[in-house]
Amino acid sequence: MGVAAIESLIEVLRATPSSTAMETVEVVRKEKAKLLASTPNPLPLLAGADLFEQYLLRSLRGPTAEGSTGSSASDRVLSFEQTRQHLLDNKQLFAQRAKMARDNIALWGSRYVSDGRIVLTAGGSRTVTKILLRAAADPSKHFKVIYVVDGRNRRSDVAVAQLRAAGLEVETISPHKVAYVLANQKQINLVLVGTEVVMQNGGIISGMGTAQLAHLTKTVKGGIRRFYVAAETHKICRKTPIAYPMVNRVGVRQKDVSKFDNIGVDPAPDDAAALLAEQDEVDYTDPELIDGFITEQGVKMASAIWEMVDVYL
Amino acid sequence: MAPSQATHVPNLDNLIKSLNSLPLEASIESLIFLLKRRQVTGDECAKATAHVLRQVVAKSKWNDVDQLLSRVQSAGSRLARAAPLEPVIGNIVRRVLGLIRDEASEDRNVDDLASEAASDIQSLAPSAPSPQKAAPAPVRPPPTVVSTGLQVSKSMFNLLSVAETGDTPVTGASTPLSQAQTASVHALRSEVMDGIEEILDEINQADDQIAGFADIQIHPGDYVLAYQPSRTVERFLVKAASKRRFTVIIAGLESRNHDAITEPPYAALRKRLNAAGVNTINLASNGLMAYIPRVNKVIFGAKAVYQNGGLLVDSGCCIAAQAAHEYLKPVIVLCPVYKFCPEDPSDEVSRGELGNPSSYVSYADGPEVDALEVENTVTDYIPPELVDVYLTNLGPQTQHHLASILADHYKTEDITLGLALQLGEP
Amino acid sequence: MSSKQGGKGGAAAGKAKKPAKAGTDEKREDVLQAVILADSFQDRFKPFTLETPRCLLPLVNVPVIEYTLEFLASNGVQEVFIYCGAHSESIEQYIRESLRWSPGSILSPFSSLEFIRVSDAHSIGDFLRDLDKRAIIAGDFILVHGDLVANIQLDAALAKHRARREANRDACMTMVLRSVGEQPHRAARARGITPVFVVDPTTGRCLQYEETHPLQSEHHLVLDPAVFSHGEFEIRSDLIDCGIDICTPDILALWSESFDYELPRKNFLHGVLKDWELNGKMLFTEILDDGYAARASNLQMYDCISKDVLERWTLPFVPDSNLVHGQTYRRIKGGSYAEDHVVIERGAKVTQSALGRGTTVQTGSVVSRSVIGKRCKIGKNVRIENSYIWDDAVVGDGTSIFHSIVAGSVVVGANCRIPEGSLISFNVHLDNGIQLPSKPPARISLLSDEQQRAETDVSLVGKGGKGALYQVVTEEEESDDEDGVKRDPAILQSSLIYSLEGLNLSTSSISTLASEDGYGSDDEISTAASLQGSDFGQTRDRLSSFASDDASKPDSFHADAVSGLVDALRADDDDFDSAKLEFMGLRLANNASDSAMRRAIAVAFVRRAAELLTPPHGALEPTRAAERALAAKAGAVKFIREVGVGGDSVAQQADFALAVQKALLAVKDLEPARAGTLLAALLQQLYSLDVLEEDGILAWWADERAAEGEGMNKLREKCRVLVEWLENADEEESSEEEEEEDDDDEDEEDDD
Repeated sequence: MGVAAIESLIEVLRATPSSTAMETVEVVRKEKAKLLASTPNPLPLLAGADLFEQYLLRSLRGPTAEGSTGSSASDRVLSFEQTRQHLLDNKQLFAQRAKMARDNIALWGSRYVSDGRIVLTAGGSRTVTKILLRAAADPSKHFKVIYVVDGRNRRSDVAVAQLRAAGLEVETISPHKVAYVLANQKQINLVLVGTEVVMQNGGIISGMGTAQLAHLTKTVKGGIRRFYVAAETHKICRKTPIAYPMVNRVGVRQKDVSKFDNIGVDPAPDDAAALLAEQDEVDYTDPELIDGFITEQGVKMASAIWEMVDVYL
Repeated sequence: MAPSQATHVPNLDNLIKSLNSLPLEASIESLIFLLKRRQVTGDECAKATAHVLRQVVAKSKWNDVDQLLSRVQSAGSRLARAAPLEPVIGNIVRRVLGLIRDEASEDRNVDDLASEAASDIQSLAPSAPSPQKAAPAPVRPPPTVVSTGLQVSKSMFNLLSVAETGDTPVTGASTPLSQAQTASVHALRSEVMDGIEEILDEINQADDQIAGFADIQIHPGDYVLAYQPSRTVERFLVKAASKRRFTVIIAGLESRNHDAITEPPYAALRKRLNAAGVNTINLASNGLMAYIPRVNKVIFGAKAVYQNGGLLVDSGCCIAAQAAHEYLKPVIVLCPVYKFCPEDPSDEVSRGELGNPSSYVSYADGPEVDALEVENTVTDYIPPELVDVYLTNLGPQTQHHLASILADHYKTEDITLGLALQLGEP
Repeated sequence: MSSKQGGKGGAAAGKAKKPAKAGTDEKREDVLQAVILADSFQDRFKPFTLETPRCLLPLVNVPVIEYTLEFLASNGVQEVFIYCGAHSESIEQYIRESLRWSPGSILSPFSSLEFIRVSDAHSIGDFLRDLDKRAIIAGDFILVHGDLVANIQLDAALAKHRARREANRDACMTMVLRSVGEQPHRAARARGITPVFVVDPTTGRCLQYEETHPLQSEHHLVLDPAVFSHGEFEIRSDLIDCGIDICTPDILALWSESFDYELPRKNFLHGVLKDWELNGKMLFTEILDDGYAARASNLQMYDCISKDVLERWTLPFVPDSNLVHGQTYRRIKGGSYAEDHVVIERGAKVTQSALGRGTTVQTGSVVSRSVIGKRCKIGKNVRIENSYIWDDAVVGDGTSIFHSIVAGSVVVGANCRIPEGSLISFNVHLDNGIQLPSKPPARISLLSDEQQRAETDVSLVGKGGKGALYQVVTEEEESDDEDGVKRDPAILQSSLIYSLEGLNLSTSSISTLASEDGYGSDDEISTAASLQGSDFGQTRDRLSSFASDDASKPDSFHADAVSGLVDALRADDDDFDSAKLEFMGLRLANNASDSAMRRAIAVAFVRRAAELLTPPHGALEPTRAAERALAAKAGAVKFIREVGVGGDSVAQQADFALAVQKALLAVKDLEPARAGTLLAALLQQLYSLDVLEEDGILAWWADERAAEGEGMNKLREKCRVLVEWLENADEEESSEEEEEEDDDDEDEEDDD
């Protein structure tokens, strides 16, 4: 999603006749707002769009700022015009890099899959699938997968089918069984999920049920289990959910359960349409519950996410 | 002829003495085999690694920073691979790599100032994909990716950046040899070697520095449980004893030398503590739980601290930590900063290292040797939840600060060393 | 170092030389030298050693010599000399190609490593005499064998050795030994020959050395009287001799002086200790109670050490230390080790094993407590237990391999069965569905003993197979016929599984393993000796008793004679004369006394009779057994009469009866009641064969020695009926004989 936002903004850039830098930025901002408003869960887009905007803005600050800090590693800072041209020229490259990032994550993540153990996962993340497939390619590693499927999330079914096709032993369970399975399957030592968005405090906003999984991983007794999130760094979103209902506060439009609006008030039909469909609803998982993020730049602690955002600013 | 001389058995001291006379490869190799034969273990590993890497910097042939980095990296990962359960080795290698990067970038900056005009030479380097003429030269070499094909950078802008990631290696782009640089190789060499000296000093002083915090951590009248006190812990307790009146409960068995088998465990430590007026109680491991309610804090040393705050420790510590956790007694872990690893514990760590079964069953006991499979794990992994304070040579830390300590001491580029090890192709 | 051609007179010269050598000794004190004997002139590892020297055979996928070299390196040895015998080229090539050991390599932990070839060497003794000539040894050196696996530190032993040498020039060797306790131990079982060290526990000085093994028919040792004069001593048979000797150069001179010594222990050590008064040399032991040290000196030790390595007793010499260049072992689940590129398919189970690089184990297979080399292909549903499979072997689907060695590049077809103890040498092919015999286990090789290509035995390896039964050429059969004592204990050591089965040991001689040696000598002396033993020090010893006769007593006579006679009695043919001749020859050779002969004959016949009582030999009744034993062979009776009893006097007859009684008491597996019945039957039989006369038996009955001790008394009581009958019946012997027999039978029924 984030990459899609970037791609659409590049198209905007292409369509905008080259004018002054500030003007261009304005156009991009406007388009970005439009883009975000178009969906009830703008967070994934926001992460990509923000990245794009910041990259553009950075060129305005110019190379001098860069030279003094001396911290940015692989990146030289171009002039605004160069930046623009670079972005227009390399749309494919970015998509390709996003894919490569996933490959790198698979490389890092497969280390965390242990021989003879069981991985518990949910949500149908492609990144997670990739990690598991990569781990399965190692002939010295035999592991099993328990997949939490709820019957509505099609992506989970696809993922399960892919894993099975690769010869992995996969068992599916419904979300009700998570606590039961965690308590009884002592071989589970890794709970692995993907996410759409990583918040800058190290929490994640991901498919409904993720938080439950994380909580249960920490609280169900027996053995050392780790809860890991696989996510590319461009999924980091510069927002921190602070107050309840957290996901709504950061701009996700989904049904607010706290309103108990089943009696008396008929929700306006347009409102209902603007909300997230139930199967797409998201929840927020606290960084305390997350043992680490598997990113293409290595495995980070939740507390390190904030520092990465710092670099990015 | 004095029989006292001539211990032929190779050890760290002999190695360090002989380092200057040995060819580089031979000294690396000697250390590798000392590690493999377990003739250098634990804290000694850090020191030995630093000494040998110093030789690498001093003796190997290199003309620019990249070459130096790759020399250190390859020697370092060979050492680290020799003893997979001594993560300290990898840490020291990373420290040295980071040191080289720092020194190199300082040099560059000086160079840049001195020869701003001449910097055009550098743009002769293989050009970046940008069609425009490359703007000012990069300030630092891009990350070198030596032993893996993995691109590592610490910017989120990765995705959009100009630099090619992955397809073409970017090393060398910034390191053409100007004559000024040839001269600076010499300077760099001595600076890096000085830096390694500093790391060595840090290693040597760490225990004392940690002991410096003893009187803050230990209060008068405390009952302190020390589980299998390591040398670091011993020094800490002795230092505390000079300032405070408290009681030390020593648990676990001393596993060091067979010569002193007749002595009660930790006799030397107890003597020193008693001399300072501190009471000591020796405890069999199975009496641990009974004493925990009376104890104020539990102290032990760690072999390594992972980025998630988990610990690699001598086996048995986990029981003490768990007991303390159960009774809400603080667990203080003594661990110098050089033992902090920018990695997560691998499976090998959680599985633990297996020692010689003879610690539990004598090989002379025929029926048992035949009938039993004795697994003697000599290391334990302690999950971060069980640890309250990490007492480093920089002062006490909590789990949340580990990330920043790691960020201060290691360059993100060097963390891959860990992955290179895992993929482990020689 | 000049007098090499020493005869016996060289001892004095050796002494005289010492001061001269002292200078060189100390000059190079700081350089530790070691000598590796890389050939042991044995064929215990055949057929494998037909192509590869023993020290290059893989032990847990590492050539054995690597363990030895690494052991020396870990002890800080700097100069190494390797003596190679057979296959010396391949050993040299291996070392030269090794990154780590190659003599010129800067990586080598040794400052020098030299090969020494001795063209006409036929024993280890030749090597050491050659070493003496070369004068390359400057000071103390470590002598090891090329099949040593040890993780011990020699520092302490070295220091002690030096201190002793400083104190006394004659203290010239320290043997490092590992104690394995008094209980049965797999390493002790595997070593075949049990070394027995008589040691002064305070100084560690070795006073006497003997070897025992289960195949010898006489299970006792003779202590040198000098030992008793020494004061406190221990007799230890609980030691593994790992062949690590710390020597001074004087030792080499000793070798040179005795040109006929071949083996470092059996000949050299034994001899030097025996001649202590002549040469004045003192040899010491260093007995270790921890650490690991053993020699892969035979297949059973190979088996044992491999297991010890997998169980990590040998730490740091374990697979995941990766001490050899390029190894990449990691610990995996199930207590196993695997290198990179090992594929264990889903559904395959590998426990407590090691798998080399590139090996594949397909689904459904179970590998346990085994070692599998590099690049092996293990098919589906294969079972491999306790086995050693070397590099590049292929095992077909559904095959089972139990406790066997399958050497490099062997191809085993599908659905084969390789039972315990099989040895399959390099490049052999087995067709599908081959079932190898289990008794005796097969040894299959492409080569015959003369290094020729053997003709393929299709009945054994199948149509598509390659290889033939490897015939073990030992003197086993011959020696059995000639004289029992020369049965070579090597037979025990050449198989993978320790077994006394099929070696034609009499049951009685197994039983003698336990403790029956009481009859090895006169009772009084035996008791006295054990008393002395307990006075002087503990008897830490698996031999439950030991005999100490007069030093002059020819004990070997008894052993040889008894086994010779028993074998002759057992033989199917009717020829007893040759046994007789042999016996007389032995008697002359050993100058045996009459009583010794009497004893030997009594023991032999009693053993035979007792043997006949047991099921494998027909489970005869005592009467029949006695008759068969005594009368089956023509001439035997005469032999007993003339040689066994040796005269007509009543005293001699009584003595013989007494000897029979004692011999019966010594037969272990016989309950006393039955033994008594047998005694009665034997005496009666002897009586009716006119060997013993009435008076003789009565004199025996009256003899108080016959009633000494409970056991003797019990036996004696059983003969009361016989004696009473003898006393009463003067004339009508023949008619009452049957009655007596009936009595006997009744007796038996009562007992049951």
